[in-house]
Amino acid sequence: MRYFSRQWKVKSDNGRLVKWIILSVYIVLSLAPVFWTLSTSFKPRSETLEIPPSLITHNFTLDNYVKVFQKTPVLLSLRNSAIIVTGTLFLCLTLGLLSAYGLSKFFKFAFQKFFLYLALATRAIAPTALVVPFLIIGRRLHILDTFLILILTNTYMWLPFLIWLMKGFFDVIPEELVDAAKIDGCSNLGILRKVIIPLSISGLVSVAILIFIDTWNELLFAMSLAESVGVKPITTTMTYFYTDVYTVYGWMTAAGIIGIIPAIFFTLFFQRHIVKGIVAGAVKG
Amino acid sequence: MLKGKNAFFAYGITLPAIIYLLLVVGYPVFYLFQLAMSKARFEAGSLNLKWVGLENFRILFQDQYFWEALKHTIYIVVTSIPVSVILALILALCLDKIRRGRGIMQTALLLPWMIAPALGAAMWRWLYNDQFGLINYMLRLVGLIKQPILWLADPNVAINSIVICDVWQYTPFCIIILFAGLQDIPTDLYEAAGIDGANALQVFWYITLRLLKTEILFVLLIRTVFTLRIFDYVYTLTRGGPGRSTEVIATYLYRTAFSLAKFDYSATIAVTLLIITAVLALGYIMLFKGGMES
Repeated sequence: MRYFSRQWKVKSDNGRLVKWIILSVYIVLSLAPVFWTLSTSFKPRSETLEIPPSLITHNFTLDNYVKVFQKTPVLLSLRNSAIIVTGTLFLCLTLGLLSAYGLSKFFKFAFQKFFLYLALATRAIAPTALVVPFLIIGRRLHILDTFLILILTNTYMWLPFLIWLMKGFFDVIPEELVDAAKIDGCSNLGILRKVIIPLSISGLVSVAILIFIDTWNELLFAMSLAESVGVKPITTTMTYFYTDVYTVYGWMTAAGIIGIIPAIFFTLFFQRHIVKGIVAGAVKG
Repeated sequence: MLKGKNAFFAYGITLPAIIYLLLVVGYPVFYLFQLAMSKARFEAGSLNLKWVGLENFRILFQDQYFWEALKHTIYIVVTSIPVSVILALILALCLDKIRRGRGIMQTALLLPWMIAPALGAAMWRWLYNDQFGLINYMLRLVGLIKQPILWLADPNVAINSIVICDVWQYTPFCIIILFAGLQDIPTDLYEAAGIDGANALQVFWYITLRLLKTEILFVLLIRTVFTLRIFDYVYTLTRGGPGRSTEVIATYLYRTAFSLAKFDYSATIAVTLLIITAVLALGYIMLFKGGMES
């Protein structure tokens, strides 16, 4: 028995090393493109066209970044993205939290299940399919090329997810807590604000971060529904240097790097929250 | 349970989101179907619709470009999804067995998913560059190729280059879900199997895969639904080219609307995309239900 267990241990240690190596190789391969892009953004143009390519530049320069600021309305588009993301988050959270509370186990009414599945069904509609209707209806309502239409359309992609997820979190809250608050004279909205939201705050943060990152990265609606520089978000600036004939890779990568800083920041600092949100969405959605 | 005044309150807080969804998704979907069954004409600055029934669909089924786009979309679905799910399964299994450095590895594995396709495409275009790109350089360095591969310009290669991007970006999502599933498998099951003398392959087949069925089906469902509508990478990397070799349903419908201004026909393609997605999703859900019962 002792012999057996020792053998088992040695084997599993070797196995662990192999697993470590597999993971490391994949991580290096999957992050190399990002590293390479970052490195390119600090190279002068001549150096990007060198063979063999240098992994780390020997002529460090910020010229590419300066060019991005000179040639594109990057600050304006960062501001636009901030407005669109804030608006989307606000709309998603206001509508979603209220609705998730109404659809949770604390209430029972006709059509409750139906509403829940209706929300789920809207989540399955591809944004690419809706671009044309959005364009035509938006033009008819004179809201094309405004923050409003970008906020309204971005909200649809996350609201159903938020409702399902938060309903899931609300449903595991013990009923006694709500009853106690009720006896203390709390109104229904007071219960939501003082009991239910504080108890599910970590789930809420996870979803909010996912909404933030995804809305920040959104490209399709941005390039189809907005035209003027005062409205277009950062993703359109990131693709500003995509031309078919004459591509300056330094500028293109620098513009992209500026655009992903907020999303990367959130990923690095809230990794656990993000994972939790995705997993909860998978289990409950 | 809450009744009377409370039910009224419940409707009051639930309905705003539902009304929003009906207006912002329900009505556009209705309009999309209407558009798909009409001939649209611009008259005095507005779009006039004339009902033609299924005429547009008849044209669509004879449209060779549509079939090509569908073929390319299916090609990406059936290559990218198995590759990313198997890769994710291997990586999740590895992640499940190690202790040291797990947190940092998880973050590193997650990162590609968080990178905006707007940067991802720039990155891959630069990597795929046939003269100065890193990939061709590396492949030549280790002697795998003599001539540079035209990653985005060769019609036979370009679609595979897009598959690589798709795998790179969406494998992290699969890893997270599968890893979470693995952690829910009770360890005493493995111990019991060890005592019974099961080998690693048997353990994997009879315990891990069986208990991971729900997560695997979920990942397959989500990846299928999202890959069917793949747009960002195709549009930014190749615009459907060279020729039409990477045209997918989403870029075809986008181009039909935005370059050719054929909104009615674009809507027809969109409706077809929705129907295909719905049918496949229902298929998966049936499998899901079947899997739950057995």
